[in-house]
Amino acid sequence: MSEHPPLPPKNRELIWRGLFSENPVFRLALSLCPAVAVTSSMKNGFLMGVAVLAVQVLSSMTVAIARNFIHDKVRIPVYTIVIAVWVSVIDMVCAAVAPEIYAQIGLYIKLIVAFAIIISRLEVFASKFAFLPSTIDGFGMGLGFCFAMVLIGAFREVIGNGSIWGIELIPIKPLLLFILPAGGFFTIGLLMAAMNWIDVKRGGKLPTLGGGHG
Amino acid sequence: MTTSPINVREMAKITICLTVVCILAGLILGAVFAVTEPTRLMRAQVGEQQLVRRILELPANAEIMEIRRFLSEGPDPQIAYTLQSEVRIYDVEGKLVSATPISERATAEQILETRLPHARRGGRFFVAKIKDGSIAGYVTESEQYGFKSFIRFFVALTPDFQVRGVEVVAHEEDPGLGAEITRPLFKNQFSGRSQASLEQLKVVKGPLPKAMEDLYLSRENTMFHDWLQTNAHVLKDARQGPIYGVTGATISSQALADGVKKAVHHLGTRLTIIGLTGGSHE
Repeated sequence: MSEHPPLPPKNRELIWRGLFSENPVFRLALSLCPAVAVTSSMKNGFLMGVAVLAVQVLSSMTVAIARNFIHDKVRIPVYTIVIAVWVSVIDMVCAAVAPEIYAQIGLYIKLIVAFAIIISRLEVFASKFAFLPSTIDGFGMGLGFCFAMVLIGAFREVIGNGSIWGIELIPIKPLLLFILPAGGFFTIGLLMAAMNWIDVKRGGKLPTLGGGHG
Repeated sequence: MTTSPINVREMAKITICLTVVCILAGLILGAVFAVTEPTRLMRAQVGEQQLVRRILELPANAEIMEIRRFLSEGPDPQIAYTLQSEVRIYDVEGKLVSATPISERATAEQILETRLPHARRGGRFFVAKIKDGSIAGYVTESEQYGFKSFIRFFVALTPDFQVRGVEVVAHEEDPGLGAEITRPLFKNQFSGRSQASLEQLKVVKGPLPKAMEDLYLSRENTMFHDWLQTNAHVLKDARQGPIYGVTGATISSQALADGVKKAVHHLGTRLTIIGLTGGSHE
């Protein structure tokens, strides 16, 4: 670690990065598996997004506080434990406090332990910066993930099922393929292209380095 | 990176760091579990009671008794039932071995512990009574192995052992395939069948005839007896006919049908043993 830690970016910049310029799904292409698996409807995508947001913020906060005590060589296992603890806490609290919601998203909450986006934020950001910027970075990234999940879910639900948030828009299912797993990949590809197009229009540069991760 | 391959101090630091983190994690999880678990159990119990009330369409003043059944292992197996006021133990023939009253000093759990140690759970059911003491219906809980794992479900019966409805409470079947058994179009096909017709029940490969869709969908928001009356002519044939399996989920459909059949049969026997039969068994 360098003697002088880099200055953290401004708060607004952090949120904007998570939402758009470094959006976890559309830009970093992280956690695509859950993004495909859970977004067959807008509601599912939203609930998953909120759960990820909570875990991301709490984990970033924990790691930012404890970053000076975590031994460098075992930091990844420690991050995993931190995430697992928060996921389990949310799982148990949700089961006790809101059983109706838990019945719908209980299955997905446990999956969050393996989300690449969370551990990558801990490694890239929270382990290097102080409490407040880390919290805001976690919030921005979680928000960006949630936004992506809602967008993908809405797109797939409208095209695949003719409804939005469970409310029927058109009495037919235009293209059933889109709520099936294959349609998830199409959707992410299309939306990613749309994001790039918007970015280029706004005078940005296309990302040259790509890569995906579970 | 240090060049020395083994550094005892370094190793000790790593070990301590991981150990401390694990202990902390364990403590936090333990504490959260201790706080949330009682609430979760209580909520689950309340939810179950509400479900029983809803599927039996019980009036507010109706009383629900939960009866649990336990089995002991060994050469001379015995069966225990925990009733409201006593724990009764029967032998395999169904003869009463002992009846121990439940009091404040001896709860059902304590009695079971002394009378039938190491007994394992063997099902439970609910008996609903309305104010004048007459039986309003039964709900039995059962499990059947589906396609992926166990399907846990409730079967609600009228006092004369006609199926009111089936509710799947837990399952791990595939969404869009096996999970469709929880939908009105499948689960309501059981409604209105008598115990005798259940014994002959067959599951055929779907799809459900279009004409019958309304019949089973309308079960969702109609009172059971109104539903029976308005659809009397259609139901006359339907309740003797087969169950139409979910397309692409023959195994899950067959499993739930078998499970319901077995659950109703067992409930009949168990109610006779404890002397709580409400009606005919045809």
